Amino acid sequence: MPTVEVLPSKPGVSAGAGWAYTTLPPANAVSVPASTGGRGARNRHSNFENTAARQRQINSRISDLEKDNYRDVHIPLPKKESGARASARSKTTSTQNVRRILLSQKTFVNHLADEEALNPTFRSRRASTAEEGDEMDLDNTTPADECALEDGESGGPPLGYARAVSRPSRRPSRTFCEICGYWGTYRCGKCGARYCGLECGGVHQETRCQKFF
Amino acid sequence: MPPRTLIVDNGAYTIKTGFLKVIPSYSDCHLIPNCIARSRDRRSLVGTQLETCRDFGGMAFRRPVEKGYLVNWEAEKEIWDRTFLEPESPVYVDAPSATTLVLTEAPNAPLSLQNNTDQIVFEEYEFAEYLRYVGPATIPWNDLPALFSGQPPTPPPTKPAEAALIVDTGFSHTHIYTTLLGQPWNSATRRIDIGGKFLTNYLKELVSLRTWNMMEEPYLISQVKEAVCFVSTDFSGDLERCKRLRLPQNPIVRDYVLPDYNTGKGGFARNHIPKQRGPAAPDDEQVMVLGNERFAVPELLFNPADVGLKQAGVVECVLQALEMVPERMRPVLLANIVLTGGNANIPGFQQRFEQELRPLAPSEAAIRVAKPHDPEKFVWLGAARMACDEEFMKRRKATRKEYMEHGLLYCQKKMAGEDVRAGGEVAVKDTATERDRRENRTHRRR
Repeated sequence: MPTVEVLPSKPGVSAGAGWAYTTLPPANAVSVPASTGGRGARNRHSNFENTAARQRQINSRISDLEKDNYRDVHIPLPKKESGARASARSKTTSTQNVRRILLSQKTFVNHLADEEALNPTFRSRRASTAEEGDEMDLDNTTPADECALEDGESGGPPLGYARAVSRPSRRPSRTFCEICGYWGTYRCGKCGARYCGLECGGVHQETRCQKFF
Repeated sequence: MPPRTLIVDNGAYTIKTGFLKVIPSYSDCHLIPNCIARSRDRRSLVGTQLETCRDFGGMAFRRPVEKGYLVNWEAEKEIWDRTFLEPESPVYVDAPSATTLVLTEAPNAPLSLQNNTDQIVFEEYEFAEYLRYVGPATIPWNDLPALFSGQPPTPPPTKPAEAALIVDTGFSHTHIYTTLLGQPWNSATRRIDIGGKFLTNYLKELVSLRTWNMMEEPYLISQVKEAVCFVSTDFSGDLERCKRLRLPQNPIVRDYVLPDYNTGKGGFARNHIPKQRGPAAPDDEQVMVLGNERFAVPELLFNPADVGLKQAGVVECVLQALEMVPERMRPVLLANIVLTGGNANIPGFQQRFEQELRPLAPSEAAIRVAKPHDPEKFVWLGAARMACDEEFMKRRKATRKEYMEHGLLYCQKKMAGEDVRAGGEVAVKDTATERDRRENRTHRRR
């Protein structure tokens, strides 16, 4: 199910630069960090990594990488050979629940949206640390039973899918040459692809560059 | 008929399943591909039938497990039927009504999917007793002290290990999961959306850009990945070597000879042999040369940001998880790290993990990382040993009778270890408080 996520944009930035379509579930969608330059359209060109267009590219690539098959194929179940299967239950009497579940065409994203509607999560909460646990630690001055957990102390209920996702990495991001996989030091001025040097740059210009003008 | 216990670890790539023996071992566990595949000649192959296939060219897969969670029961039922209800299957369940089912699921599964699973198990398969438990949470029942000291495990039943930090890196995603005294510490669960499938697809993309177009060959590429990929312990150094050295002197570059489905020759990896000049050799083999792809692909587990995914790598994630645990438990967890799941089999994974974790962890903390003999089946083994813990099973498992009597919610609460004493009455009271809590929460937000 496509989700439209409105990404933060500054009033100076021209329309269309601050939003992106994404087909990822809300937990996975990466949002555009606020532009640091703030010089408007002229600055956007040099700040390519942070543009909505780049983000769209990344999001669609990630959802491509999560696919089972390159193309969308429908694989039907094979025909039952004899029909006389030693099923636990004869096939005429499966219950209503079972029929409903078997016929359900919901995908994981649909189920996730249901879950989200039932218990809305706040993305900010994820960042909070175990403060209560640490406070308890100060009171606990007996190192003898250090490993024992106090009564009622527990990690709480399960977090839920959206909140369990890892926070972004603190390391600086790295870029790689799209032709040979070496460090991507240079960037194509037209399409923004990375390459490592003259040789790969030439290959890119000749065959891979997506913008012809 | 004596009651039997069936252990099912329903993974996205394979179902790990087998009956419980007195002393569970890896050999009781069968791997069944959890997919319906369609070959080039439009035959559908379900589960184990995939092994009979010789031509994997252009094969497409339908997997009932999506992002690690069991979603499509239509397909899964077909696979389960063939696995559990056909007499020639090695895990044939002759009488579900006298069988206990222990089923694992991924952490943080959406409630609606759990409901579906429970209803199918009780209403369609009619297992007598059933326990659905989070997969990595069964790891503490494995004999972890023996694993760390390298001794053979003591036979069950044993008590669950005191503390374990589990890095479960499977086909759909990677989870960091923490248990203390056998109980999951839920707030310290972290997920990275990178798993074996993601790595395979990434390799597929790289190879298709650089050598052969392999976009339609996920099966072949996953075999290539298993044959040649490794985790580099010196990433920038290896990258430099791949760039600077000419092919013949380069120790990293390897060849993968592509399989020939017409003659039935399988593919294999070998050291790089430079192409001969002149006319092509008579055997006419097709070779895929792999250089930095070999380590750039598994590198994603440690640096998801390399493809732009805004998540932390495995090691950083371990530290994020530790932040949520009371401070005095952190050293214990750092000394009890277990790597499970298929990706832990990638050569160099453990070394890289230790190497990266050491400088990030407190210097006085001891770090012990163990990789079991068979990381893929380790969760299955843990679940099997958990099923030997009779007192625990009695407390947690739900019977079909209880399901018919008290309903789904009661069974789910019992499996989750919540207090259900007087049957439905308590369960109803619990839902009221639960609803109350939920309402208060939304109220506070306003």
